[in-house]
Amino acid sequence: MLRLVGVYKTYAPPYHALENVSFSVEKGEFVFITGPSGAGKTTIIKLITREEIPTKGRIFFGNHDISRISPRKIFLYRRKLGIVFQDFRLIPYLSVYENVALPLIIRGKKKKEIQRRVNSLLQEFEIVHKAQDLPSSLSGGEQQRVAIARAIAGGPELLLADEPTGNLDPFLSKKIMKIFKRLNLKGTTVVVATHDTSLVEEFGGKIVELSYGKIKRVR
Amino acid sequence: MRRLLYGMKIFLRDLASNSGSFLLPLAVLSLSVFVLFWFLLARHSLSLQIEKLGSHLQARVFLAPGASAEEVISAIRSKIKLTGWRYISPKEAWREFSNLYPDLASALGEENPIPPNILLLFPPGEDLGKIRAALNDLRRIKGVEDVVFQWEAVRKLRSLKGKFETVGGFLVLLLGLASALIIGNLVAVGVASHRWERKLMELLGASPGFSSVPFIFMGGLISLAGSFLGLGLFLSSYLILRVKFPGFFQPLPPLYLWSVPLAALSVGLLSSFISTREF
Repeated sequence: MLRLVGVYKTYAPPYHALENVSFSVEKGEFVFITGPSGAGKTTIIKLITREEIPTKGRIFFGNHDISRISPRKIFLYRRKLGIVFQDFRLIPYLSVYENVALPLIIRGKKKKEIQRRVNSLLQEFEIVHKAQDLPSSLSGGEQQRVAIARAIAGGPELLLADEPTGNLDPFLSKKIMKIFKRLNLKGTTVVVATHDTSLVEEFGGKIVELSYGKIKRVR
Repeated sequence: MRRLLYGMKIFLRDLASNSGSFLLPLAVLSLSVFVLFWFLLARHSLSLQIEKLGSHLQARVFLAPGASAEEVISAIRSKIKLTGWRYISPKEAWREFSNLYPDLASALGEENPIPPNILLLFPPGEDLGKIRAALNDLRRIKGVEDVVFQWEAVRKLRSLKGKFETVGGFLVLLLGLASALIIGNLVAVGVASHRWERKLMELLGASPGFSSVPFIFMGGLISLAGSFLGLGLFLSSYLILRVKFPGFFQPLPPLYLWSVPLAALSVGLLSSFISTREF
């Protein structure tokens, strides 16, 4: 499904943020990208979402080299992705319902379909009673659940999470990881970038270990 | 529709949290529209006045004693384009003179100082300089004693209208440009302050158009609000002045009333569109 082939990313030569990184993610897999801060986890996520372009190497989604997609067409590729951020990135003046509905509005879905999908997601993530609340009134765990609901609202082929538990306590972190695991069991391919090795050990899956921008180990 | 609602939400939120930044663009826009309306009204009134005067462009060719009116008129028609002409006999000329200047006529007694003449009528809007040159040529025609025309008022009005249009056109262009820049700047500030939301929406799969729509909508809304405010100011001042100076200002055709807000909306949308692309 996703293949990184000899990827380099250089911000300030001669130092490479990523150096000759190659790995693949198969459909339905649960993959952890792990490593200490500055190892290049976020850079990989940014390259996959095409926020950044590799300095060298290629990234394939299916058979398409995503570096070659024109900037005006990139939204079509991004509609296949769901992204969860460490800092949640919920729009503060939109209600929980509106935040979750945003990807569906973007995709031009009909009002009834949006209602059905959003209500079902809010129920699934146990935040239906907060539907009309603003994100600022939610706890960290609730905000992250809203962010995950938003990420999967559009039915992504690949769910990317960049340090999704970075702002949460260990109890909430496990709860969020269980949600990812559940989504993966339902068939969504999940890639989680985290520095939390205890979570990686506990939840298993394929692990891509990074160190100083290089792949240390894939297991 | 949902995009527009989202745009409306952003706009109202920005308006509520930072209403001061919207005041200057609104003031400049409404002032521009106000000035534009007064310019259009003045131009329209001038045009009507010129049209009224211009439809009566005429000259008189006085005949020398013994001259044949037919021969003179055929010579004149070969030189100037006319919409009509009329021969005025000495008797008729005297009657006209007596009606216009009864005191002078009674002082003159029975002596008729007015020679027979031909009244020439010219097409409205004809170039005055051209007619004047042609009329001067008529003086050389055999049988013509004198040629009289008095179009100073029309000439001055036409020249005033020409100058007015140049200055007004420049002013409208300047105000239009200022409005476009100020709306563009407002939208650019809006885009900058919502940069992370735009970025987020792009990551969620929004097309470049989708993330720009709220800001283009914001620019359009500001320009419409400014133009309606300007229209309101103009109509208020127009109604007050019309009561004070009845008959001086002609009513503005309805075409102007809706085309100016439409033009302002176009300027607003275009400058917002450029801003969202640039920033």
